[in-house]
Amino acid sequence: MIEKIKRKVLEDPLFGYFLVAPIVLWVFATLFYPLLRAIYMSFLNIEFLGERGRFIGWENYARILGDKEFGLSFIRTLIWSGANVLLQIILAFFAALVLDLEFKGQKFIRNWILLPWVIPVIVLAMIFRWMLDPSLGVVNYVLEKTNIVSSPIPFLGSVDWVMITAILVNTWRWFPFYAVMILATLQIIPVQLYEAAKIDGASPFQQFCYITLPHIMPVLVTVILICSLWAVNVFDMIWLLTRGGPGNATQTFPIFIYQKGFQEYRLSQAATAAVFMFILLLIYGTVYLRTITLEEK
Amino acid sequence: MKKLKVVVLMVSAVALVLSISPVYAKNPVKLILWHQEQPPHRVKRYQEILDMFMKEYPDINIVQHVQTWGEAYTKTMGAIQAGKAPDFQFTTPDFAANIKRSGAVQPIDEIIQLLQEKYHIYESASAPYHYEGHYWAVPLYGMNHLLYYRKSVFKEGGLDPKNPPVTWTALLNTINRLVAAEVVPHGIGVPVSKTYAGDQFIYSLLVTNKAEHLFGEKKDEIIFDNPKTIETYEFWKKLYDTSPLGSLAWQWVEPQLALIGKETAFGIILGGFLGHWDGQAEALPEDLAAGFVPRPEDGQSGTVYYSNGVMLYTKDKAKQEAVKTFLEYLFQPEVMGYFLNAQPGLFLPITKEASEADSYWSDPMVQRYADIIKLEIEQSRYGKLYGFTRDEVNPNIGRIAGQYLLAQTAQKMVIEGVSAEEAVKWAADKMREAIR
Repeated sequence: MIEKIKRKVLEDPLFGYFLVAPIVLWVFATLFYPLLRAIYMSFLNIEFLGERGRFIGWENYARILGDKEFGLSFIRTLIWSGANVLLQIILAFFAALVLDLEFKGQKFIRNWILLPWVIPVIVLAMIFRWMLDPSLGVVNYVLEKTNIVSSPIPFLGSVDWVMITAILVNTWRWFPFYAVMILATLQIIPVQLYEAAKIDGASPFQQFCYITLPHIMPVLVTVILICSLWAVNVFDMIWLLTRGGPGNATQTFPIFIYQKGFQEYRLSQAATAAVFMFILLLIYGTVYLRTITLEEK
Repeated sequence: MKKLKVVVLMVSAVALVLSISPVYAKNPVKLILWHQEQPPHRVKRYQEILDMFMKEYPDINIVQHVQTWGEAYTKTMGAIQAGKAPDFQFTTPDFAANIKRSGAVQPIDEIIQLLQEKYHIYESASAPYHYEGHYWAVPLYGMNHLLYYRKSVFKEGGLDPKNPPVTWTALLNTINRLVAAEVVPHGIGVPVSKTYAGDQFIYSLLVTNKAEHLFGEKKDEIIFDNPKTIETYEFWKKLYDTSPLGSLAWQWVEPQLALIGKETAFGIILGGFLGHWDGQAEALPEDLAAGFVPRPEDGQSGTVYYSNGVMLYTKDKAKQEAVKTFLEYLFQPEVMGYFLNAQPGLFLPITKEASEADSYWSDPMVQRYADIIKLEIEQSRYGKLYGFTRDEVNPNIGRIAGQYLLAQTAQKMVIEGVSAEEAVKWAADKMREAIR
């Protein structure tokens, strides 16, 4: 009898809805509501928090699109995320391949490679601020002592250096995370495939191209998507390292939005920029996944 | 029916008795205080003060909640909107101006008046909170700049350590002399990042050149683009040229460490520097000296001066009364002295009485740097804060301060290589846009 009821309940579609309801509600409360709220705010003229605002139609959109700094922050975001994705994926890929090999200390490195990702970002940023300081930092000290440079480099204090420096620091933090994801996939490729390929006379390069790569491709696709979306959204590392400066040299979208909303106190304009960012990411994600799906077909 | 009446009467009588009974009276008034002073030693000192107060006034209970300055605005506004605002909160003048827009900040004239009757509150401390006919916060402590240097560096350069440069010209000459003699590699640490550190350095120079007003007589008239401001930025650039590489990213700590590490001869720094200097192996208390921020020959004594205060949100009369009682307690010179030494050297007295309190001067660190702290207190009387130098305050001042436009102007000169005139004009336009 109990078994019968159990089966009936489990087979009832309502039970499925009941199970997913909490997460749906959670996603709505934490994702959709803020998003809808931001879209709503982008049509008002709210400046300071707590103001009700007045409907002004597309005025904020026109203003943001006409803002030179918005355009520049868009270009910076492209540079920032493009470079981050490229460097992080390449490094993660090679790190995963190396960690998949058998060598002494492999386990130790596998365990500790995640360290940069585990350290709180505030601590990392502070450490790098000091290490990269031209007068007091260890990096310039080493570079000068080894005659690699003749005078110190203002890594964070020069518009020429700051973007690449911030990219490298962020890459250093994130690539181990992706390396572990790729490594996990490498570990589940059946060894027999490599053995069979060896018997057939396949070179290591051919094994890589025809066995390894196809197997890790699905996870690589996901990792690239996650990496690019997260890279665009990075706020904490840039803010703590450079505050978007010097000048506006590292002012990416999130920094632009924060500064508009909480330094210039133009909340509706900040919401408008956030809506733009959301639309661009949505387009990117959709196009990316579509392309990959079509290629797979 | 009769029975019901009797019951109602009895219940009413009991309620009446309870309401006036000592048991009820003993229920303390509960106050929530928000502040943004996160370092553990400051929190600890505040708790000591609160405990002392609550021991003396058991009918008032105050709980401190610590916020960060970074999230103070959003949290406060969120709390106000949710009807969960604290009863009172520590503030700075521009923060108060921003929050006041919400309509939640209560005028505090009665408390200020009461305190002014008892104590000599420095005008420079209370003025930034007085506008629209009311006081919006009670000042608690001030912060300002001095010109710091090492006596040993002066001696090594053949200079008299008792005579720091007083004028802009003298400062540049001294820097050139010390750098040329290779006593130090650089002149002065100039923070240029888009932070209050960058803004305040420049503002101190603006005050000394009598260019302290961002606004004209009318609160919506920007007068930043004037010859005095341009002249100040031109001088600033000369100082920047003597600053170590990478100053564009410098915030608060870097100029301090540069001075401690003998990288620079001078630093125009807030008093919190004493805490960093103190206890450093290479920094002896007796080697540190300070002077007023140098001024032009035709200039004036001055510095940026931030008075941190406390503003009131609660409309509850009993709670307002309790806050008043607490502030009266806190302003007692000996209590205030102890309170200020939550951060010796940085938190400066804002009343004449507190500046003479034994509890203030008995702190070991204050004793070690007594001469410098006396100078700080003296200098604070000439202090100013941008946007708060007139009787009227533009409600959008937060936008100018929030964007760090003073520092941005300097960055423009360095990064884009534009003249001081162009940079100042750009900043003035940005300010006009900000208050529109």
